[in-house]
Amino acid sequence: MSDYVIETKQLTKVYGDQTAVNAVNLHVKKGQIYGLLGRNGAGKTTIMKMILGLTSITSGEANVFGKNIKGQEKRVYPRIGAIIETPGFYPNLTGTENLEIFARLRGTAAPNAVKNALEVVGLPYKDKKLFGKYSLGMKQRLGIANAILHDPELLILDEPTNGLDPIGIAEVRNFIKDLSASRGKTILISSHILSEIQLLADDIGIIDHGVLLEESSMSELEKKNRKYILLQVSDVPKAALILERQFQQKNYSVQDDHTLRLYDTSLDMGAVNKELVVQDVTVISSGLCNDTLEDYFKRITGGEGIA
Amino acid sequence: MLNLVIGELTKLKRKKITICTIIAACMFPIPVAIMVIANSYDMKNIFAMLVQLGDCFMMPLMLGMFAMIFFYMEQDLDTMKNMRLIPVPMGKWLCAKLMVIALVSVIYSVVTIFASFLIGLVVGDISGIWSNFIINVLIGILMCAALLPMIALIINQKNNYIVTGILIFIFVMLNFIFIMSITKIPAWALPFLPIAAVYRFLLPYTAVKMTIYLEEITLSGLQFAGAMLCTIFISVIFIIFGFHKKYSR
Repeated sequence: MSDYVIETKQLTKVYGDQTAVNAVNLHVKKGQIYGLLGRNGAGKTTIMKMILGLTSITSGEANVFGKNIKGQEKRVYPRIGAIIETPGFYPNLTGTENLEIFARLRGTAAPNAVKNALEVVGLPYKDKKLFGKYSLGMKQRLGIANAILHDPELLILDEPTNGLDPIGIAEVRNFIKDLSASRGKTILISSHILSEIQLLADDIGIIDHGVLLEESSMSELEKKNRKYILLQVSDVPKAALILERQFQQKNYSVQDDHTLRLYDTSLDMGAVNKELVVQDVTVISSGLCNDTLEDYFKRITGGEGIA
Repeated sequence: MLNLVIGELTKLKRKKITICTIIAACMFPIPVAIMVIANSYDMKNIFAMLVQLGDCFMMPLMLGMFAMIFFYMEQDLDTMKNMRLIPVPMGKWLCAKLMVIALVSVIYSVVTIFASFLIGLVVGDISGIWSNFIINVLIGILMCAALLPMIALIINQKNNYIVTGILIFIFVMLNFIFIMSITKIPAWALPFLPIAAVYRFLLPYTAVKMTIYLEEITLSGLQFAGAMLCTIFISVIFIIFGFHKKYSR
């Protein structure tokens, strides 16, 4: 029996001649929040759809609770709650009526399931407002309420904070954290918002152009992030020349007209600063820094940053 | 199964097409009443007109529109994924949807007969009201089977309301042409004209007066059963195929 609640092996999806997901090996541990981070169109939703069996797999496999979902839907789906893309509900019904339909169809929900789920996401029970009149944030909340309605062990949430205001985002983040911490739920969450994943996830998977570039725990990732010395000077070319000639340093990068990054953190900065001053280069500041997750994302995707 | 039917019925709450169907069923007898009063018709005429125009024309059209919205709803509103993730068994769900359409069909027939009773009261003739009621409920039930080709057509279309609407109209009009004419329908065409087949089978009970022409075009029990079984068989295959395609997309 696998230790992972979700495990994919060489998961691939091809649409025509375009590879949307390329040989992804994802590992979601029990009781953890796994953040799938990637730009829009990176393949996050397709991976989730394949895991849930909502779209066919071109090659590879996706196991949930150690089983392939195909043919096991009746057993596996009641243990999963999911929001994929936009939440789909009936606009002519109220939020409560919508959830009551799904609770009835699930047949396993507790008597107060609808009320409890609405309470968790902060929506009123038995409100007369129709779903068609809901704001985007309210729709998103109702989607989450539907996902947790039957108290599932695993939650698969595709960009659940889309359309929420900052307070709403913080609220959703808190209850997602709470679901994992106090109720032991396993959560797979996708987002293109780096800060969201950074604040929520225990483990992170970085995906770009359908390829899973990195998979590690958030703590490992933080350790891995490169340390460097940030040096702000009046004359960068002259400073670079001094570093190369006097200190035999070639492992540096120029950020702009006044900023340098030195990657050899063992360097004696006292001596460097002194030499720069002696050679008439003003040192504005110097100090030890760490790459942010955004820097790391940029580095491994080889492109622009992410929100 | 009951939960599925209740769920499907709940989805229709406050839906404009539901309100339109009810209004159409209630309003349709008004022009009939005007014609009846203007021509001093009796109950037999009233009933014949309601069957011809109401049960065999208006009802299939209304039910066609209703079924179109009812079957396209899940994909239009993106709720199909919710249903799949429960998971709702495809076969049971299809049955629940068909049962709701059958229920609407029977309710429509009952409303029509109630309207004919009201018109009868206005003109002072309510003779044969109970037999008419039974015949009309029977029409409602048979019409469910007769409308299966239309449902197969709807399900196998790609949620295109205009094209499907036109196809529904053509299907109903083709049937209506054979309802209004006294031309014999060739046996091979009967499964494709099921509404006309129902009408012609029940002619002895709905016609104002059976003439020799009407007797000639009336379908025997055997002809009718053969045609309907054919219709049901072909339609069900296409319905299952189309619904499976929509469900697994």
